Amino acid sequence: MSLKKNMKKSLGILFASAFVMNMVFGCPGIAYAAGTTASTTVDGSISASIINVSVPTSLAFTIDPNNTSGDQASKAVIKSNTNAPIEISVNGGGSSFKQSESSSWKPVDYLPDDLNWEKLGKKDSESSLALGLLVCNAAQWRVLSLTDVLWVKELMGMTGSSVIGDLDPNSSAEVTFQTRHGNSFSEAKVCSYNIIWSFSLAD
Amino acid sequence: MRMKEYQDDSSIHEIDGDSSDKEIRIATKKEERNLLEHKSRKPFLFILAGLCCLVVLIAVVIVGGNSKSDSGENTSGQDVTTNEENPEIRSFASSEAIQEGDLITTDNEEQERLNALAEESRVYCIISSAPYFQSIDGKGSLFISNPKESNYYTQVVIKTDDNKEMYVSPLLAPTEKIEYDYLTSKNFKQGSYHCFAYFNYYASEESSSYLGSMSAEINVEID
Repeated sequence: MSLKKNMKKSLGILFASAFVMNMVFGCPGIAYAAGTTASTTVDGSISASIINVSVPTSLAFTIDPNNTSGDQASKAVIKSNTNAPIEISVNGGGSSFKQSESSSWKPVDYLPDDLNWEKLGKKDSESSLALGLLVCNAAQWRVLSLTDVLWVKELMGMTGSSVIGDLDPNSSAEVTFQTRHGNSFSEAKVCSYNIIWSFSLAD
Repeated sequence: MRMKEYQDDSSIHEIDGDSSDKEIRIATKKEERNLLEHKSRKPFLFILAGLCCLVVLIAVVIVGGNSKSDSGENTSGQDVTTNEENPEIRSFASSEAIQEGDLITTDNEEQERLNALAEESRVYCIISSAPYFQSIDGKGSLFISNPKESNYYTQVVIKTDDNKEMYVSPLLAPTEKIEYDYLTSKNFKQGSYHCFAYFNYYASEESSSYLGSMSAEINVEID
């Protein structure tokens, strides 16, 4: 009887000890005690973002010397279908924003304050122009860097690129042109400019 | 009896002798006179007739001109622009072009035309921001696309920021894409290269149809 009592007592102590160990060390303790291990390796693979942007290559403007507020220009809609913010810029140095070689009218590029435009005669009117890029609506941009007009002549003197701003993912924004010119033209003029836009993932 | 008829005539008094002879001679004289008178009047008649014709011709021209002007025809002719001292208000064919108000040389139609011109020239720039190549000889993930919405051909040239050419794509028509391709230059070692992918756009498969370019800043990785 005493042997049975002792065995019961020993088993009770053993189970009690196991219960206490289980409470203290938890399940791993039991697993470890069972002698099995398991490990899972997680390989994270992230694809690079795809830049997906569209923009017009040709932008036109008309000059109306009879109406100083009547000049009109295309509105270029820059569309980003990228699932990440995109930075939009134009490179400096005169190669990214310049007169097209096929342009039938090739005026000399000026800054708006270089000439007294209202007083220009026929000869100077027909050979001078100040053309600049302008953001239409600041609210369309995630970050707007170009808060003033970016003039062609100004861009020619720059070495780096001029950042227009950052677009939100899957969004669009409009840009247009501003011109300064004389008012004496004996015939209609057609002028075309090429812009090489540059896109990158925004910081 | 005939003698009496010609008594007032001076030529009859000069004639003596037989009356029948006289009659014959008188008759002959008269015919001669008539003939002479007729001959002297002939040029005058011709001149008179000519003058009449001229007058009629002038009248026809004047009447014809007035009738054309009244009916509104030939209003832009040279005669119309002749400045008269007190010019009459001329009749006009139509008053449809007349509008009220100040001259307005800008309009929404012109703005729409300019915007449409820009929209027609829309081009697409689609490429992986970080093409990855397992080796210089292996294919890399470029993910270049010229989508179906595009109207133009495009060719992509990837250059490092120090202007070394790394990749030149074939000319892609709309709906064509390149997901994986080999670098066209093998003169690069393992590493990461800051590059520009230049998208050149053409209206046709001819170089002369070049429209413009765009660029995307990318990072090319070579293992």
